[in-house]
Amino acid sequence: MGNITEYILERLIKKGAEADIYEARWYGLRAIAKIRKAKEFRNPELDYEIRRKRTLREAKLIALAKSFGIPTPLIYFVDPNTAEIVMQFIEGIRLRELSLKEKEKALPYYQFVGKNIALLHKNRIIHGDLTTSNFIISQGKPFLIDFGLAFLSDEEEDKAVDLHLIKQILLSQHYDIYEEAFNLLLEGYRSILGEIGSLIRKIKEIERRGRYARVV
Amino acid sequence: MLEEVKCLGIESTAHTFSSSIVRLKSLKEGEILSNVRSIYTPPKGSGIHPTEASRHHTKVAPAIMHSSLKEAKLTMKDIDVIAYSAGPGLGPCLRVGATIARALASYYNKPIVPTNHAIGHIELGCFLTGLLDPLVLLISGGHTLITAYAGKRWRIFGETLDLTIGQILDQFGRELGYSSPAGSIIEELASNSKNYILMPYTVKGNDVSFSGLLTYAKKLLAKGYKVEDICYSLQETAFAMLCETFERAIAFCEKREAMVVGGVAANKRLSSMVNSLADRYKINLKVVPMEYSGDCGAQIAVVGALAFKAGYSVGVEKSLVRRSWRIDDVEIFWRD
Repeated sequence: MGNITEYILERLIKKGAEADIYEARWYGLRAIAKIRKAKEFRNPELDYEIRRKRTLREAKLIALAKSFGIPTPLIYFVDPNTAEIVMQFIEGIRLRELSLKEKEKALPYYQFVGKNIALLHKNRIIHGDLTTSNFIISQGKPFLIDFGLAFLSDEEEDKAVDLHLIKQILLSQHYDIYEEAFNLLLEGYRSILGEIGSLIRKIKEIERRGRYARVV
Repeated sequence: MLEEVKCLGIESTAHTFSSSIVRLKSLKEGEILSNVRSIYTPPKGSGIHPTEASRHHTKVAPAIMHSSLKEAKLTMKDIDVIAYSAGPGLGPCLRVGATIARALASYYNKPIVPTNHAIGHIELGCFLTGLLDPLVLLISGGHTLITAYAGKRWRIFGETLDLTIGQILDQFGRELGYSSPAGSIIEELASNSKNYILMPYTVKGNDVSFSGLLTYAKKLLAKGYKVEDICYSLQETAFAMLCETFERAIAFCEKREAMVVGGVAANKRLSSMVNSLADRYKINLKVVPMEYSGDCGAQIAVVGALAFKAGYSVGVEKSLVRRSWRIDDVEIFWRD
């Protein structure tokens, strides 16, 4: 990182699908540096556009979510051209691991998760990538990360897709706690947004749509 | 229970009518004795018409059934079980295969296995590639999804929210005046361009959405952009979306093996992209051989044999068709 001197990369934590994640120091603070590396299999123009856009969106919407009281990391630094973000280090365990290893401990957090999703939606933020990997349990709260696919929308369809994504992960990765976890999540969601019958119907409609193409 | 099962598989989900005979001891041990097919081609510039396709199937069925037995050097007496594609698919087409299966089963007194077509693509892929527990990218005209096996089901990690990859290729091909399936023509046109036009790229978590992309490609065509450039950009964008969701699933579910199956797996640009992904994650990736990537009887016969070996079959009265049959609704008896 020759051109940026404000932060120091200390160690690679994870080579992720979306970005490489480093532990870093930001003016002495423990931080995370998220760097979206170029993908050689993608057309270079498309690749640059995706990385630049997502870096900007992530930084903007993570901060916006925080302003509505949803636990997210603080953003320290952004450079859309090199697709880098430096943010607060959240110490904790991912909801994914907790759900796989200590189901009983994980379950109560799903209500909190549902509440946070509802708070996002109430404020027009669609996360776009709700998985159990993107919640870090820290200080008894689920911190939401990874806003690279987030966007602003009022549409019921977009909210329904958001909930469908987390439902899909629960069904595929955490199928043994799916029912309880998803019910708790919806309970939390309802506690913020009230009755959501039409949203639930929308989720079912979305799930029917893609499963088998009727017109070949 | 028989140690080795000889299964006759009949496929008639959409374009293809096919019959195949396999001899199987397990996913690891067996042989495809025959795999004969005939593909219905709609008139230029139009899509598949279910009734027309089913008429085609009815017409070619006797000859196809005959040659599959002849190639396998077997008679109906040697067959242990009959499998047919029960869904998902087009109603009139599915009913052709089901009717033949029922007729043969009652006449020769054989058990029947109604088979899920998508599971067929996957299990045939496992049989051919030797991968027993892969993360699967299934891409065809009827499906676009990412799945992995766990707890008696193939569970869905990601899927399309609207059109399938095969549909957008076919529908764009139709705009150009070709008949479906048009994937190979688009691939050829795309290979003559390196001029990328930025197109709508829609990934939502592990899911993709193609409808905006198709609309945009059609718009560019109407505006007079070069056909080769649009085909190239359409492929680059759609395949990058598939690769991104596949990559996310690889990173998320932490499997060591991955497999690409379905008709669109025959596309060389796509397979070079997924191979590059596999290198990055150091996983063992296999693309199903081109001969078996499209719809075929072998995919039905393999599942039929596996299910029958595991003790599953039905009588004629339960041999129905299910036009929408989700893969995660199917209980997989033959896997641990």
